[in-house]
Amino acid sequence: MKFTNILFALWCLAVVALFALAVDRGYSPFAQGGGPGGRGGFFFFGGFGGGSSGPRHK
Amino acid sequence: MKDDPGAPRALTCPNCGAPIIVRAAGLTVSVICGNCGSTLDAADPVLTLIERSNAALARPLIPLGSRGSLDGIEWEVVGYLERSGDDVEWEEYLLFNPWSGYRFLIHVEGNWRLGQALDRLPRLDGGTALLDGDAYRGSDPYNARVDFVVGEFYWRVSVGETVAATDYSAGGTSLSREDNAQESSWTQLKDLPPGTVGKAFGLTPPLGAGKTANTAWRDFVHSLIIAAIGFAALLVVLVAAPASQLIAQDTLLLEPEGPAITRVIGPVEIQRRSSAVEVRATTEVENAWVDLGYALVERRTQQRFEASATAEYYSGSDADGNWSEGDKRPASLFASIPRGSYDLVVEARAKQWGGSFGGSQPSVAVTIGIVRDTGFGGLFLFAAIMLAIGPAWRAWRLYSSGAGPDRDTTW
Repeated sequence: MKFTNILFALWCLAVVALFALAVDRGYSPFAQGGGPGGRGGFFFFGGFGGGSSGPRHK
Repeated sequence: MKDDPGAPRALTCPNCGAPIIVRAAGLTVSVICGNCGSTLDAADPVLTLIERSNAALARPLIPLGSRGSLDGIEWEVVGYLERSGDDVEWEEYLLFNPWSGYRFLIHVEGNWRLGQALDRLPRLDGGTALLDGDAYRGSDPYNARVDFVVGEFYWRVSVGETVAATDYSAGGTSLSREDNAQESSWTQLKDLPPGTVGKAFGLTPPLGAGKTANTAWRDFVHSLIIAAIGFAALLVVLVAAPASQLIAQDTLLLEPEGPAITRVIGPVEIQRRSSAVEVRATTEVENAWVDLGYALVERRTQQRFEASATAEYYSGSDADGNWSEGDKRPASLFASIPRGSYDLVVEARAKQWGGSFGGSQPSVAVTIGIVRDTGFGGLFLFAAIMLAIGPAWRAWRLYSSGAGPDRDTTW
C-alpha cells in the first residue's frame, strides 16, 4: 500500500479514536459552556451580557 | 573464469532456491530474486544474502526479460523499481543493451518517459538548469524513496533507499537530479508519444487482475475505501454512545418587558465520569425575544458552569416582501460536566420588539428541558468531514490529471 494511504489510514484511525474519546467524556468543541472545550456563557447574574437583541433584518 | 559483459549467467537464490538469471553479467552489482524478494550480491560467487525484501508483491507491467525497440535500439527490461515522492508514485524500468548501455523507462501517472543518465553536468542558474542551450525550470525538491525493487541493476539498490530529487522541465523534455551522500546524478528524460511503449514491447493494457496502470484512480479508490471504513467506525461509536435522556423539565411564564425571573431546576444527576448536558428552551414568541441565562451548579462543591441563549422570532414585510428570522428553540450545550448532582439555575427575561412592526402580546411561556448525553451530532459531522479530506484531495488530483478508470494510461 502506498505510504500516503498508510498515513491517511492512520489519520482516520486518529479521528475515530478522538471521536470515541469525546463521546466517552461528553466533550464537544461546539459546546457553549462546561469543562474543557466549553467557552462559558455570556450570562452573569444581575445582567445579560449577550449584547443587544432584536431583529437584524435590514 | 571471467564473465563476458552482457553474457547471461544462471544463478540460484540461496534463500528460496529459485533460479535467477543475470542478464548483464559482469556489470550487475545486485540482483533481487523475483520469487522471494531477497537482494543478492551478484559479485560474490557464493551469492551472499545482503538484505531480504518483503515487498515482492507487485508485478511490473512490462515483464522482466521483455525486449522492445525504442529510439531505434532494441532494449531488454532487466530491472524494475517502484518509487514514491512526497505525493506521487511512479515505476522505473531499467533497460539494457550490450552495446548502448542502460536507459530508464519511467511510468508516472499514465505517461511514459525514456531517460538516459547524463555524462555532463547542467549549469545551474538559480532554480533553472541550463543544458545544450535549453533552460529547464526547477520544481521544489522532494524525497524519492524505493518502495519495491526486482531484477538487476548496475548500482546497489534496496527497498527504503531515499535520495533528494529535483525535477527540471522544459516542454516534453525534463532533467531529473538525484543526490545522496556519495554522488549527484542527472538524467535527461523525454516524453514518449502515446502508444509507443505498448507497441515497442507488444503489450496490451492490463485487464482486471494485476497492477492498475492509473495510479491516480487507484489512489482515489483506496482513499475512498479507507474513509468508508473510518465512517463505519464512527457510526459504530455513535450507536454505542450513551443514549440521550431528558432528565428534567420546567416551564416559566414571563411578562414582556417585565422583570427577570429565576428558577432552579434539578436535580441534574451526572453518573458517568463526565457527560454532555444540553439545555433546550422552547417558546412561541412573535416579534419578541427571551434572554436566558443558565448556571449549572454542583450542589456539594458549588462548582458552576455558565451559558446563555436567546429565544427570538421576528417577522414583517418590506419592499422585498415578507421576511422572518430568529430561533424559537435555542439549545445550549455544556461539555464534559464532571460526575455529581447539579441544579440548573435559569434566569429569564422577555423583551418585546417595539417600533412599527411590533405589537403587544400576552405572557410568554418558556419550556426548559435538560437532556443528558447528547450533542454529538455536530462532532460526528465534523469527524466525517475530517475523514473526507483524503478522498477529496485524491479526487482533486484525479480531476487535475484528467485520468479516469477507463482512460488509464498512454500505452
